[in-house]
Amino acid sequence: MPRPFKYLAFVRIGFARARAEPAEHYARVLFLLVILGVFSSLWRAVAATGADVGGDPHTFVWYLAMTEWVLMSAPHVHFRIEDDVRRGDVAYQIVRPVSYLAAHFAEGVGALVARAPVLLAGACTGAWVFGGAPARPLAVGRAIAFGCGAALVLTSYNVLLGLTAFWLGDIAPVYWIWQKLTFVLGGLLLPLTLYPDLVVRIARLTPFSAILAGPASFVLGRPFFDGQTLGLALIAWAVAAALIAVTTFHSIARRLQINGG
Amino acid sequence: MIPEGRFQFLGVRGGAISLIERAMSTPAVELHDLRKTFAARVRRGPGLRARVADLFVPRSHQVCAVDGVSLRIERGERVAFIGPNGAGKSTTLKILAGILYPDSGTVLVDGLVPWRDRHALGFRIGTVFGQRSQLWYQLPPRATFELLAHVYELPRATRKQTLDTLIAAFALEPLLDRPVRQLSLGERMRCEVAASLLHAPGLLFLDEPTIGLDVSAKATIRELLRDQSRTAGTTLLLTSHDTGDIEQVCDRVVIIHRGTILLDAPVDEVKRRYLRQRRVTMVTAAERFDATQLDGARVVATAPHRLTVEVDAADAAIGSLVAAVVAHTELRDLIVDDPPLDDVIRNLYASASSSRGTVEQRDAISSR
Repeated sequence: MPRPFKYLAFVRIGFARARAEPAEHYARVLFLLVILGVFSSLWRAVAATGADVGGDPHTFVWYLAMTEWVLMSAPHVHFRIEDDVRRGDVAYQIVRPVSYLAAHFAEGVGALVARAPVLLAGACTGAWVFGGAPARPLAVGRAIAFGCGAALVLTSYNVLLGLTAFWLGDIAPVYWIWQKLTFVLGGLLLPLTLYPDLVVRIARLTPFSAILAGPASFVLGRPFFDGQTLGLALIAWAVAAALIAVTTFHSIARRLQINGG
Repeated sequence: MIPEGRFQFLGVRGGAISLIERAMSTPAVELHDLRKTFAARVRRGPGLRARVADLFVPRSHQVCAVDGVSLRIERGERVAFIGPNGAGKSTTLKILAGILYPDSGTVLVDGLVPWRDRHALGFRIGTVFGQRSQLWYQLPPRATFELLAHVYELPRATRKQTLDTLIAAFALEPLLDRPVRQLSLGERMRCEVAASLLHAPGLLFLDEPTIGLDVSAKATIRELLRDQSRTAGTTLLLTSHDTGDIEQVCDRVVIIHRGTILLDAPVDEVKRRYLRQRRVTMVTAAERFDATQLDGARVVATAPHRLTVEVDAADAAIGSLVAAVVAHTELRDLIVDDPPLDDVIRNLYASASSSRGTVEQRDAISSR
């Protein structure tokens, strides 16, 4: 069997594992609906005062639905890696004739395939209920297409984030910083076009803007990147994540210490 | 036709047959002067200033886990690698499996350098870590077996047959479709061992495979391991604190203490050489028997019609003992036990301790 096809088995097991925990999907959908409900009320309330919110509050709900969908679809591979390191299960995985990183990524892809459609259905339903029908249905289609790619790239960065467990043991501090950067520089809650110029320029230099604002901003009618640039940016950030992960793991493997006896 | 030049480094002269012979004569494991140290963080003490200093200028000291271990294990051998906690046995095992890099020394496992040829070695070795799991917790064991069949590139034609053989040998049929989280520890361990054997490895490294199991589950795992080794010729290298694992699975015992090998000998020889006492239980016609009449015997237990004593096996004392008993009463039964291996190992650790300092956690050796 050619080696790359091995990883399809990891995709399958990631899919099966995610399907074995349906309650987690439903909880995520519920959380997404609550977020959409709260923020749509907030924007409507601000718009009702006559203040300029920088766009149509209904369209913002679709924007938020898309950013949250991408963010919540990407599986938390980093916590799986942290568990491996903490419990020492990495000892089992590292001796297998497969790449530890690719196996985790493939397992994450399987979880993503199981999770993304459920969350997308929840996001679109919530956006429709709280924001009305999309003003640009085709743009929603583009956002979904690029969003799938963005969720894959985010999964690769989650693998990278998980590798910090080999140094720190507990990834919580790094994850906390990473999460906040994603929220701010990715334009999770507000379109990046509403941010000060300096922040926008910084955001363009990070993967966060391509991962969240990039696909979601299509629904605003003022995309943060045009389609071609976004596609190239996602590919470039994915390649960067892969290179950093492989180099880092090579170094980790040399100084690996397994927890426990 | 195998090109000669390609295998010159192996010293092959006579083509494929010689190559196979050579491969068969290659030991399963060959270690020479293996050393491994770890850097352990040293805290300056309590208080904020010390904490800040620890954060920015960390101090560490080197802990020597393996200190010049040399070992050769032939194919098909069943070797117990034992020692107190922190002796270096798990570290050695992890170096052999290619998980850890040694600081120095040469290591060949099935002719491969583990950390350099980790991918190729992965196909030839199996690992069982008693305190870890390779099964997907939320999924049934079948899902892990199917995944591992792909990982180890088992041909589709033989995959089902291999799996069926293991399922039958390990009696896994009722467990296959239950989520792992619903299995008992013993059931899970049967699945873990089966998963490690799926690709028919020539070598199986086991790190405390029976830890936490009940008596019956331990016996099952031991029997399965022994049978697997006998029928498939699998080389076993096992670490354990449980002397039952050593006696019932292994033929050879290597005792490691503070990173160096204290003893390397057949299990039976260890028992004979290092514990000269034999425990003799006699069932007599007389309800009570005055044990003070027996020279050189120490009474261990007495009961109606039953007397257990310890004698020095080296002095042919058992014959004298029996003669002394039959001179006074009818001897209905006689049971001579080998010395418990626990005692042998405890004595070895103790002697190492007296020559090198205290032995940490000597009592980690569990009773059977």
